[in-house]
Order: sequence, then structure tokens, then C-alpha cells
Amino acid sequence: MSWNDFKDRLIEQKVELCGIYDRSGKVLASSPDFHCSPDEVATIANAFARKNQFGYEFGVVVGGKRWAVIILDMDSGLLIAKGKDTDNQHKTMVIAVCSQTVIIGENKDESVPGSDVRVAVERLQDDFKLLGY
Amino acid sequence: MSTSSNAFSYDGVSAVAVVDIGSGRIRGGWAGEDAPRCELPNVWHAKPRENLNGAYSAEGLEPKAVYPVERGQVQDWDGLEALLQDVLDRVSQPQSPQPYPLLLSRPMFSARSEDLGFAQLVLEKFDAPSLCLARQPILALHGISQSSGVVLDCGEGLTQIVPIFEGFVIEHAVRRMHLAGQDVTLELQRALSMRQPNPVYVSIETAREIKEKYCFVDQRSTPKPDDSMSRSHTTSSGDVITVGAERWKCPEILFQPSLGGLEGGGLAQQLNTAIASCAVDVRGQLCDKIFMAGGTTLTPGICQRLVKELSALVPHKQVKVVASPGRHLCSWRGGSVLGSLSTFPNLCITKQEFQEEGERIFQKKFQ
Repeated sequence: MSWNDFKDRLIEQKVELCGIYDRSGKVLASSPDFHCSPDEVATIANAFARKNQFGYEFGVVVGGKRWAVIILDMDSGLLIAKGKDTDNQHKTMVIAVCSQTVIIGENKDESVPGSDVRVAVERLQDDFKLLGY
Repeated sequence: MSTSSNAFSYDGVSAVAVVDIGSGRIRGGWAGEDAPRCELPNVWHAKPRENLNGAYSAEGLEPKAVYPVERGQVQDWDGLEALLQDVLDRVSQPQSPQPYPLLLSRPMFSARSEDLGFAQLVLEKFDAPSLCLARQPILALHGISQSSGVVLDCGEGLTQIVPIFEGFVIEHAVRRMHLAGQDVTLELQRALSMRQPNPVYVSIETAREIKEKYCFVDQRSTPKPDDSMSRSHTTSSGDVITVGAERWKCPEILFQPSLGGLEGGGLAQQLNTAIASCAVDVRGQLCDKIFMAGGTTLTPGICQRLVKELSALVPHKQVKVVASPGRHLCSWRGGSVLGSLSTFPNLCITKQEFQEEGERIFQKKFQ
């Protein structure tokens, strides 16, 4: 299974904006409309590695937009955030940090509940854990 | 409340039984309805037991009161089974198909072994086709049609403070405290028995009755005793009990637990800790949406005191506490809403799934 196949699985579950990265921020697969800089990914991955609860105070920046952190679970490698800017305030972003990869997913529109994004991203995270990714 | 149909509707009639299992009371009814059809104290009077010779022992002559659920934990499965069966018998309606799915409310972070016990009881003993176990504070938020806020669910045996943002439970910030209505009742019973010069010894049931009728939360943490506060209560046996300063001193332990010899912070402090554990960006919105649920929040004055204390702890934020009139029924009503949604069947464990997968199904459905 290629990285693109994993990405397509997220899109099939209505996570239309998504990306899979390695922990240094290199893109492994990404949906066409989703952009995230390597520095942004690496910052998040490093914070999880250091168990730094940074997000609770300052939020996170992904795709150049600001996000308010709702849940930051260091043990399961899960971050759930809500948009802070006018163009992303109705979106939910879910980031799952795995041993070698980082999965990022968000809903393209409000009709997809944040909980659905979470379920899709966490399912992929579970599979990546089994595969050692 | 309108009843929408789902896979469990039957000729337009909801066929999902909703049971809210609290430490103090157990409420049962049907999904889609506004109020539970029956409400019973969560106490079971066990039949006298025979001894080995087939005779009743001296201590077994009177039915023994069993509290199947204490502090949100199941202590007596036989008692709970009998009580649950009693509730279902009382709420059942002739037009409902038998057997029907069940939605049970449970506290946050209840043990997996208990969830398993409920599945065995409902799916195997009661032969229900499916079961949904939903968390009480989340149901309470459903019950008032909100997706964000902090639920302060203060019941008989347990207080749960649960911040929820856009439908996501902020789990690490959840507080679960053994400081609730029964502690006020015990404190009242103790205070009356220690009173000088006229100590009064009352049963726990009488103390609860007096608490519900006369106790209130004062707006000052150290109010001065006032004789005009005294009230007389007549018990079922005709005894007259006068309560004075106990009326406000006993509920005060909810805000100052140390007065009753209990550890930890009071409701306002714990609420502040829970909100402070959440991300900076969401704290303001959570302070602005604090929802009261559970029977103990019906104590007069509790909301105003909470606003007063919390405002002092977070002076730069606007504090708003919402106390709807039927807040003691919030969890049940939330279950009623959830059980009538078209997506409800997806939240259930079916009998077949439980038989095939056993305990693993909880991981899949409820994680």
C-alpha cells in the first residue's frame, strides 16, 4: 500500500484536506488543496517528542493559519484543534503523531463533524502503529 | 420534544428505553419523550434470607435496604438487576415490541468491568437486542442542546465536572469528586446528633428529606446565626424536628469541604481547576457556558454562590452559570434526545456483536 492509498482512505472518510508527513516535515502524501510547511510539521512532532504542552498556551500554526488546541494528548499522540482565523473558524483539525509519521486531517466544510475527522485520523494512526510507521 | 424515527421506532412509537442510573435515583422512560415515566430511589429492599434450617434468622426478618450504586459504582448487581427490572416493568407500554434496546447512563470513566457487567445484564439476562452506554455529563449537554460548555453534574454520590468543546470532551481536565448530595445529608445527620443542648437522632432518609426541604447555600462563607432561619419539620412518625443554622452550615461543605472533614477543594475551586486545565483559547468560552446538572444543584443559592466564587477566582473573565429548571433530569433528557436520533443505532452494541466479540466491542464502540 502506498502513502497515497493511505491518504485516499482519509479522503474517502470525508477528510478531504489531509496530509501524511515524516517527522521532519517531508511530505509523503497530501491532498491537492492541503498545504503545510515542513517547519510547521517538525515543530509539532518535536513538541510531542519532548512532551511539551506548548499548544495549550499558544495554539498551533498549520498551513499558515492559527488553530486553538482543544485536546493535546501526549500519550496517544493526538492533537485536536479548532480554527482561530476567520477563514478556518468552523474547521476542526486532527493531528496524530506516530513513531515515524505525522497525519494531519481537517474537514473541508462544516457539514463534516469534527468527531468524524477524529475517527478517520485515529483509525489510520492505529494502522500505522501496527505497521510500525 | 419531537420524536424522530430511527431503526428502533415501531409504528411511530419510540422503542428505546432510557434509564438514568444515579447514586440517589433511577429514572426510566422512553426516548423522544420530555420526562421520565418513573423515578425511584436507588435503593432495593432485599427479601429476608432463610438460614440453613429454612427459618429466617433474627437479623433477616426485616427487608434489608441495599444501595446498588454508591458514588457512581455498582456495589450490588442483584439489587441493581431487580431495580432495573422494576423500572422497565413500570415504564413498559403495550404497543412497544419486546424486547427493546436500552440506553443506560453511566458516570465518566466508569470501569470497563462495570460496562461489561451491564452488557451481560442487559443483553444476556434481559435479552435486549442492543445496548448503549452513554456518559451522564455528555447526555446532560445533549439534553440542553449544546455542544460546548462545562457541565457541573452534582448528584447524590458523585460530582463530575466535564469541559466539552465543540462536542469533544477535554478528558484530561475532567474532575470526578466524592463530594455531593449524600455528603450534605450525612453532615446534616451528624450536625443534628451533635447539637447541644438538644441532640436529635434522625435516619438518613429523614435527614435527606430535611435537606431537600430546608437547606440552602448562603452567599457568605461565614454567615451569622439567625434565629429567624429556624424551621420545624414533622416526620412521618409525628416527631417535630427543628433545624436552624444546620440549614446553611451543612450545604456549605460543597464549597468548603474541610468543614465536613473532607479533603480537596470545593465546587468553585474544582471548576476553576478544570477550566484552567484547558487551552487558553477555549477558557473564556467555557467560563461563559457552565451548565448545572444533577439533583444537588437544585439546592437554593448554589448557582449564585458559584458565580460569586468563580468570578473572584477568574476576575478577568465573564462567568455565566446556566441552571435550567429541570436540571436534575438533564441526563435523562439527553438520553431521550440521543435515543431518538437516526444515528442512535450506530452507538449501540448489539447482542450479536457482544456474543461474537465480547469485551473487545467496547474498545471499538466506545473508545
